[in-house]
Amino acid sequence: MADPSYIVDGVLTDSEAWVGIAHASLSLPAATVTWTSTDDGQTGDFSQYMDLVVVMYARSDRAGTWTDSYVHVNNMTSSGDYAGQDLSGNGSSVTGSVPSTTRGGLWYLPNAGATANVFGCCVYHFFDINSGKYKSFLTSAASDGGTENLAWMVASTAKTQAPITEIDLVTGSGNYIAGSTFSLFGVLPRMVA
Amino acid sequence: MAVIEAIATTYLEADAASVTFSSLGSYEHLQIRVSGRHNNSGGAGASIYIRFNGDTGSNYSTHTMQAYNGANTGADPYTGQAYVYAGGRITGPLTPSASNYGTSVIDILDYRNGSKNTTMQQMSGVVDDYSGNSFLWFSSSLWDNTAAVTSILLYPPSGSFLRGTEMTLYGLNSA
Repeated sequence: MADPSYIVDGVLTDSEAWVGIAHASLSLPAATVTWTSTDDGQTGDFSQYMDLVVVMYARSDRAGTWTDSYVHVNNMTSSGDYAGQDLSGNGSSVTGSVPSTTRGGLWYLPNAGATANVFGCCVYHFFDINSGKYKSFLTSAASDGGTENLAWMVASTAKTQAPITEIDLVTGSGNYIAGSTFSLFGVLPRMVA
Repeated sequence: MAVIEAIATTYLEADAASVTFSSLGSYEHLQIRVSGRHNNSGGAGASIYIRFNGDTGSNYSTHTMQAYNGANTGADPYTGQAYVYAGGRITGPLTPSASNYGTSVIDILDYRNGSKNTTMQQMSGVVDDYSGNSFLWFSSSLWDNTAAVTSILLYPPSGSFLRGTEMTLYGLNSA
């Protein structure tokens, strides 16, 4: 099996520390975007990365006042699987709250009622994904031009010591519309003496 | 030339009082990514203090916004400090689960410029800490010194970074 281009003779080279693992640009509406580790030593194998970063730019087709988007790690969906703290601002006030324990990194994205062609942006940082630690991640998101205009930050922990092998991006109601984009990056370490 | 390069990863195999990055390379900007915890038995969630170039003078300031323990929000100033008050947030021994580490992304911009003061931004989270508390933190910090940054010292206010703490320094190149 051939090594990825950033491994030469078994040694990491000084190439890009952020490796593009996957990108999805929806041609049809979808309620979920899922990435699973390929576990094959290639670019899609999560086990070689220190961190993962997700960049998404999305909109929902749901009618109504708001639509949520959030993360499930390793198919964890039960009550108590996550803990978190969020902070949001809507232009006139800021709010802190404790999010649901069935998911992490929740934010509101523009939906069918938002100004045409407006999408919301979100960046997730997953830390030390192959360690025996709980899997903690940070979220920053922005959603404007809709019925909910918000800036978000969220700290989340998925209470598992297992490596992250799957990430699901989920919209709670309706679908991400066609044209929504999702990118997954692996962040490499550099172990030095 | 890569746009983002990993300069050095420190993954503590034993508790350590501090972590220093002293080979910073020649990049446009720096980023430090942290998964950390401390061992100070009297401490709950704690800060990561930062000093540049070994400067112990009162030349640092930090301004914050944060949410904590559910509905609480706040903003605080820390001026005339001898260190960056909170370059990030880490969990401690009072955190119920020993597997729970705090996380931070620290951006240090234009660090090699010898005519600008150094400004940085930090985003951190400590979740499900002591008594079930959680903490989300976003802040700016200033080192009031125009010298190019040549070394970065990170340390907890008390005790040491716990084994398993991981910090990686990245360099960001421009075109």
